[in-house]
Amino acid sequence: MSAEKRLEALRAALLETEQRELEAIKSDLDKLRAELDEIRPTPEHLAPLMAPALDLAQGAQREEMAEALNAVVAEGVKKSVHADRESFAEALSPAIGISIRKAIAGALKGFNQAINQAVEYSLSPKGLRWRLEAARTGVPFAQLVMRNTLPYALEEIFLIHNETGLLAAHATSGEGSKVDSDAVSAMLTAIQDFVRDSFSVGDGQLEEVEIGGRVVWVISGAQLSFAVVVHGTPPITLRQDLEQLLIDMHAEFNEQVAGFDGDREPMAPLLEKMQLVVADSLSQARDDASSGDEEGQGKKKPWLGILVLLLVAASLGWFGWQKWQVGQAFEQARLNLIERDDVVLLDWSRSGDALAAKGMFDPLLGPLLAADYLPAEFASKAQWQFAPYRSALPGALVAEKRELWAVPADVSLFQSDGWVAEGRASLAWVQQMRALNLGGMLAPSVDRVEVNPDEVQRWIDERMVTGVSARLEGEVLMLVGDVSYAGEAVLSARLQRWHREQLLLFSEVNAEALNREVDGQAKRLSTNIQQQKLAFASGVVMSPQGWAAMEQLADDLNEWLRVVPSAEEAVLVLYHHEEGLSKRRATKVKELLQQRGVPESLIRLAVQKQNDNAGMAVVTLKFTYGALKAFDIRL
Amino acid sequence: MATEVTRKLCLIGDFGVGKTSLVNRYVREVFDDRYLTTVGVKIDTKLVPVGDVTVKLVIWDIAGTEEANAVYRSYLRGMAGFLLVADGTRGYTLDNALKLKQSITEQMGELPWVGLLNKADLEGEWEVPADHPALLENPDSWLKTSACTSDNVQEAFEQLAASLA
Ligand SMILES: Nc1nc2c(ncn2[C@@H]2O[C@H](COP(=O)(O)OP(=O)(O)O)[C@@H](O)[C@H]2O)c(=O)[nH]1
Ligand SMILES: [Mg+2]
Repeated sequence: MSAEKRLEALRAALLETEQRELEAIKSDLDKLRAELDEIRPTPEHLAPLMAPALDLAQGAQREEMAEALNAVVAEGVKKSVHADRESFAEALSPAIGISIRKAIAGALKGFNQAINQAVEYSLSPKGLRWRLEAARTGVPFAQLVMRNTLPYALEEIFLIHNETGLLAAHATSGEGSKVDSDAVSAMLTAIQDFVRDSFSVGDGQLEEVEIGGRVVWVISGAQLSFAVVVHGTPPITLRQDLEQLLIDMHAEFNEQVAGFDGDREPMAPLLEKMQLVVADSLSQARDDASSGDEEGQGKKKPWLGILVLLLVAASLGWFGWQKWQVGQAFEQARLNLIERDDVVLLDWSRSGDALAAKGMFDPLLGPLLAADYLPAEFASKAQWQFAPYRSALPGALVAEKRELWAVPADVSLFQSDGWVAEGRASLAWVQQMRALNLGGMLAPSVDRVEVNPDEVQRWIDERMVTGVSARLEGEVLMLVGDVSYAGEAVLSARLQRWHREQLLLFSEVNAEALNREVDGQAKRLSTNIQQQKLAFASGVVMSPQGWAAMEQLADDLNEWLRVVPSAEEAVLVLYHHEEGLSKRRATKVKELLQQRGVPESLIRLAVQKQNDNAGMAVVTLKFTYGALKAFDIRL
Repeated sequence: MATEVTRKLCLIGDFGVGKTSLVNRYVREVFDDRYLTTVGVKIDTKLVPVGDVTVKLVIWDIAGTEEANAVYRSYLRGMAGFLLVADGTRGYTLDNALKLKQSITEQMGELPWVGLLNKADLEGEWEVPADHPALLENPDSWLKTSACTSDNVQEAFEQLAASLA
């Protein structure tokens, strides 16, 4: 046996069993195949298997399956659309309606934009140049406009996190803008909120702002939004492409988007996509731009600096200048209101034209009327509830005092070591203030208040006694005219009161030019008194003439006392000899005068040294009085 | 963790307590009196290093506090923390601030915050007592600040930034 044969025999011996089993399986398999060929699977067999089978399909297999199904499904849809259009449309409308609406709106917007630009350019110098060019070259104007305006550049895309307003990513075409993109992002969000709150236009979204040759689009997604800055006229499809990109990004980077918390690192792949779009548009724009737009890429930085500020006005412009102005009027009113230190604003809410304002104000600082703050058409509609309170502000204190003291408008009131009034006022007011001060009540000093001299003169004239007129010269009151002694008493009392109560301010009265009845009376009386002859008949009995003279003397002395105020200086001297009858007679006269009311103090007895008419029957007398005080009143 | 993160913070408090002045002080170091934008929000940013991270604060200075106002609430949305500002010379502004804080907590949950008793330079007119219950409750959360003298202004912002990093 050769070695080979031996090996074969060994293998047969060792593998005999397996060999047999293998052959058995082969024949089983053939049988099964034959059976399978005969079986036709029923729907009942397949139904439970379809879903798991579709689920399990992967990769290439899945694609194959889709391809296989494609034709069938298409055919099916076609047939069912024919059969039941209604319910099919109904089923699709939620998805398709939105896209259609967006597409139409977008198309209209683009169309409008083109028309607007055509109109604008047709009137601008640039437009006139193009018109000339159109006339020269024969190219239609519209076509020239389109050619010249089409170039565009997508300059920046801000990816903004809706909830926080934080910037999630920022793609730019150049070195980027000077403005802090984090601030721009937050501001745009705030503006969106503001616009949504302030205007109920549709769903209140700010979608587009045009500014300085740029368009800023705001494209809102569920969690993230784009703010896109485009220069020039972008194709209509650009916005649609970006809308799609945003949707795709939400789907593809769902995890990063949901977890965004201000950390930009995980957003890198999103940034990459945005950067691609920017770069893409840049190259496209460059191709288109060959026809030359003078304001190229060179001067693009400063504009963003004012974007945030202008955005406010521009966005509002988009929603209606009118409404913005209404808002401005209210805002201005609010600012004017809180300018007032006393105003405490507790509520300021507005819906449309109707305002509800509530708060407090100090009426001492002026009235607070809606009409003074709001335009008339809003003022009448406003709920304007301001309650008065005392603010204790310096201005209010002054106002309070002014009211308390009825300080005239021409007088200013201030505090400087007490309250001081300064300016021009009526005499009556000044007199009242002085009276308050004299009465111990706090009132302003009126030393610096001027009163019209004519008014003072009138006041004096009305109060002068007949025959007398007075004039204030500085601090001296000058009296002129004739005054009776009764009038003089009245005048004296009156002037004392004026002085005491400070109704007029004077420190001295000058009556040199005043003719007083008192002076005349004194002269007449003293002459009368001097002339009386007090003759005695015998002993201490007077002659009838002497008696009459004594009676007259008593009357005149009493009259003197009544009319001449400085009576204490007057004296009646009765003369007599050393001793004896002469002295007794003088004493008798004194006694008789005293009996008639003449005070003892007025009468004096004196010894006459000369002895030449001893035994005379007449008591000689002498009446003297000191210089009468010229209108002396005690001020 | 990235080396730079951005965080939104808001200034909350009554009108006139000094929110705008504080931001101006912190961001530009200029004491600017009145600043209001049409939209009622002013936004500033500031980079603050916190450890090995740089926090970029996006600071929302909101005019007014009309709580009922939807736009006011939407301005607060998504903030990571807030500065609660009261005017120490007007005690009621602290009460109002505490009410605002309460309603924010109810609506947005607990958020990091730092309380500022502003106008500390006006000592003579100071009204808020040192033993005010709110101050005793969170002594470390309150700072006496002055936008006038800059006192504690940077500290306040940075204390909040540290809890937002
Ligand atoms: N004395 C003083 N005045 C301040 C201070 N902070 C703000 N003010 C003044 O308070 C007023 C209101 O400030 P503002 O910043 O507009 O307050 P906001 O309404 O909270 O933004 C302004 O007149 C400021 O000059 C401060 O720390 N000290
Ligand atoms: Mg402010």
